[in-house]
Amino acid sequence: MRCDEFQSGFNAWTDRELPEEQAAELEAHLAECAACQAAAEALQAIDGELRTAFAPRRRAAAQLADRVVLAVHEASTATPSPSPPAQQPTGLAWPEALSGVAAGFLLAAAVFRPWRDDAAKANAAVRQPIARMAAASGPVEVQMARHLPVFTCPPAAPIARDSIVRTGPTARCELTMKDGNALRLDCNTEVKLHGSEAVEVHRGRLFAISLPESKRLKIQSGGGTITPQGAARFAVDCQRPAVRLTVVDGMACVQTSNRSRQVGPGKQVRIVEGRVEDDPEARDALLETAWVTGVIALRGADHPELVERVNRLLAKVGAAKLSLLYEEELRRLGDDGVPPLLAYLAATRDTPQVQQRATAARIVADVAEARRIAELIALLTDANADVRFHAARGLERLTGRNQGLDAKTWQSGPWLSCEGPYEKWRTWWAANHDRYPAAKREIPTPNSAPF
Amino acid sequence: MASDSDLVCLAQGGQTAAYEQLVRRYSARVLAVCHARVRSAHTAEELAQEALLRGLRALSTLQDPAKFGPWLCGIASRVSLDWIKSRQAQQVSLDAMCDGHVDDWVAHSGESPDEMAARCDDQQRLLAEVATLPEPYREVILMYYYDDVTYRDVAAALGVSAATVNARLTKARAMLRERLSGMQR
Repeated sequence: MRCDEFQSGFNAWTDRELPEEQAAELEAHLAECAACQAAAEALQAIDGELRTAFAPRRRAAAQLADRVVLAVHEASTATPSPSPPAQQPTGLAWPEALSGVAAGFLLAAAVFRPWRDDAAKANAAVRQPIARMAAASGPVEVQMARHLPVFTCPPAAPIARDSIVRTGPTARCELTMKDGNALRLDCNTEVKLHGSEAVEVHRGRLFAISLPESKRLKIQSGGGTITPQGAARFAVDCQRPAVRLTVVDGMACVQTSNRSRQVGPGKQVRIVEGRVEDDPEARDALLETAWVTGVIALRGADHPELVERVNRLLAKVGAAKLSLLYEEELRRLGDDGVPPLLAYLAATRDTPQVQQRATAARIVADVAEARRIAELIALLTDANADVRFHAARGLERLTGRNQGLDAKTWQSGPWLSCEGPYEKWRTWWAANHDRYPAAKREIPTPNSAPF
Repeated sequence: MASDSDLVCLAQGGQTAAYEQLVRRYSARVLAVCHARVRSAHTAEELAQEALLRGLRALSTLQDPAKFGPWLCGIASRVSLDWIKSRQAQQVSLDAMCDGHVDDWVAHSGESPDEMAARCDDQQRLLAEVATLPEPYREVILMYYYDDVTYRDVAAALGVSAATVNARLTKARAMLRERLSGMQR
């Protein structure tokens, strides 16, 4: 094939639209032809510049979607009390309501005079959301007002004042409030967002993160009002008639009709019939709020809060009577918990935390998915014999091979007997990593020499 | 991910959230269509908003839910052309409207004057060149870079083949490269 024939495919190749076979052929040609390589680079440069130049326009498109979604909500709010479903066969009440009262101003401007200043004023008149659905593990229901139908909240959707948010038996979620605070909801939980700072817990479990610079949150439940004092993280468990407050970090104040009480970090109290009392069934705050870890994992395995939580749980392993419970919580995270555990193992490679490191490696070996193979190979050089043992065990579980050295020998043998199998693992990975598309291609290089 | 057809059926059945998902899926493409027609970023946003809301009101008339994308882009195109006609009726020519409006072409809501000032000259020049491309090329560039879409997505929205999208993108990028290098000489 001639150069000009290859060059006719550059555009589709730059956009990853070229079939795999043709792409491979083109790439092989590029490796040999400097002129074509320069032409391809010029095309990639203009593509990169266009992407950068259009970044603000993409944001504008996202903001446009927010505005339209809000207008649709506004229209729903204006819908008169709906008839029972059986009498509503077409189900198109809310689009029709778009020309109704609440959306009327917005639409009148948008439909008839979109290019005049009125449209901008109409946009400003649209109610601002007070929260956003940041992450959810399943369908989360939102009801904008009592008489309106419930709908399933899509990811990143804005949530208006006075909405009721409800999780089912399999869904947890995180809401980012307008002023930066965050609320996490466990399964089977219902809250009402009176405003970005005023929240009522009807049932279930809520975890609140209050930032120092944000408006002070007020959480109402069971006849009490919980107010964090500055930066705080706390959980509210509403199992009527009692409501349990667990403060993880910072301070919170509980106010009922007849008394007020400050609750410090790691402490638990109950609110029962207007009284605030010590909780006779107090548990460790970390275990009490274990469900939160699963919600944080939804935000990404490298989320700093997840890393911090995993480190806290690991610190309790071996140091507390209930070690197994902490380990169980770490296992419950499954593969989502593996990146923080691997980060912990890398950060503590030269420290004497033998037991915690062995526990971390044991959990990784048991729960990691195949995309962690490169990191497990790196752990074969760890100074901690138990870590090496578990890494070899994990690799055998995931690949069905041991490169001629069983896990026990990785634990007890000298580096001399392990060096050959380690090189075999590296060679095998170089030849096979393409079969594991989600895995790291390169084996992480340890900071220190092999054991 | 739910298909367009599924979401349209749910929305036609009264599920607001389904139309909201469609809005999020198509807002960039609708905005790109309007922007390509009217060549003013602010006006395009207002027209796109109108097109998305008009799409919702007319949703019950959509016969083939799988054709939602092209249908909605058609509405966006009509809304934009109506606006242009109304401007012409007011004897304001499109050229006059666009002259000296490069800032409007590149502006986006929420950007402060300082941010505007800090914007790289090269990007301004590039966007200004996009604005002067012939419409089929301008449209395909806008549609492609406003959103994370494939040639098939763009082709479906514009009612052309994926090969045509490829050909127009190739030509548009070549024109842009030529014009920008001509300016640097």
